[in-house]
Amino acid sequence: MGIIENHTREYSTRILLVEDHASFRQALAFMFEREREFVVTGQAGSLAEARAFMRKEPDEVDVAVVDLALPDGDGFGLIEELASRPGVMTLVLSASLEPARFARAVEAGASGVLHKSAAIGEVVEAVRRLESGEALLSPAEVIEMLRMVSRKRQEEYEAQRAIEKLTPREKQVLQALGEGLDSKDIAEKLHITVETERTHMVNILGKLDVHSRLQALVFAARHGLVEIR
Amino acid sequence: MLESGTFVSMTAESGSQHEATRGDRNFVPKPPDNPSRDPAAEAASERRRKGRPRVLMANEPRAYREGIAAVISQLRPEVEVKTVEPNALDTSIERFSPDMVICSKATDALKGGVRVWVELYPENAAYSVASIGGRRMEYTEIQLPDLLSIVDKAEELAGTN
Repeated sequence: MGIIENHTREYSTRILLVEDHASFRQALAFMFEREREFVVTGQAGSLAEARAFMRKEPDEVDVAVVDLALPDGDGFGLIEELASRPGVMTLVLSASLEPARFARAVEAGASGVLHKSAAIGEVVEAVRRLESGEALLSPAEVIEMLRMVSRKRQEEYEAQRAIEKLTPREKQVLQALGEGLDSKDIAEKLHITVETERTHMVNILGKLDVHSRLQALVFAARHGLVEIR
Repeated sequence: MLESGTFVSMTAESGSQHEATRGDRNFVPKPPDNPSRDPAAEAASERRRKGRPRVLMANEPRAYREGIAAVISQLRPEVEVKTVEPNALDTSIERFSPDMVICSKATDALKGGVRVWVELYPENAAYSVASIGGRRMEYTEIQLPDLLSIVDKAEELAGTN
């Protein structure tokens, strides 16, 4: 179990670190521990370990520093759980370059987001600012992030609607396209004429609202409709 | 705070007697209380007289690089730690002749020119790979004490040169 229960100094900010790269997590603990106002009360290398700590020591966390990519899932659910606890704030520290993931973390209740390319001092300072009641994100930034999540969700909904319109045969054509086959090869593979293959492709492009085979392939790969090997 | 591209200055408050036991996954190094009575500090002082070993850190992301560099600097004060951007790895090896390198992707210049190196979380993976005097080791979940132990090995190897 990757949980540490540490001494709690009076008036210290209690920190839970949720990070699967142990050597960095331990170095981060070191960075906080050498500041008088911080005490690392818990370390977890997975969501399960973080939840176990929160069950065992529900009142021992003021700020959780949470990575989004953990071995047993992403951190969004954990952020929601932490946000539901009075007085607990979450700082996301992630290697992800996708703004949508940061936005989703904010929607889940994160008080701040930092990329791991930040200086280590910025991480410590961000926790200090959070604990002092300072907002790490401006209202405009939060609104923009929430809009991004909403847009992303709408796009995903529309993509699923489009995928549902595809027939099983059209999905087979897309899968064959994902295998790198051209029109003639796809026709041969599916025992259809080239003209029929082209008719299927025209229908696919229309249903997915894209304009080329390449765009159809990108759409299909992005939404898990085909597996690119 | 650590400056990228500069050697981290050492402080007299460092030492190793307060390290947690190796293998403790939740290792949190503590600042030492009295390094002057510490046998490890005396051994470090002896090593200092022979010349300071150098550790070059060129791994990504920056928070990892700086955090781990700070720990090595504090707990191994006899070691000079330099942090550089990953794209400066090869030129830094040439210029600073490190005894050990921590990076995210081992280059040919590294493999051919440095006896001790660690490829830490390549492509953000969970595992790490180390080469210690030509001996290759794989870590499924490398711990901070493992890295400190490799630093010690690099010191030993540097001392035998």
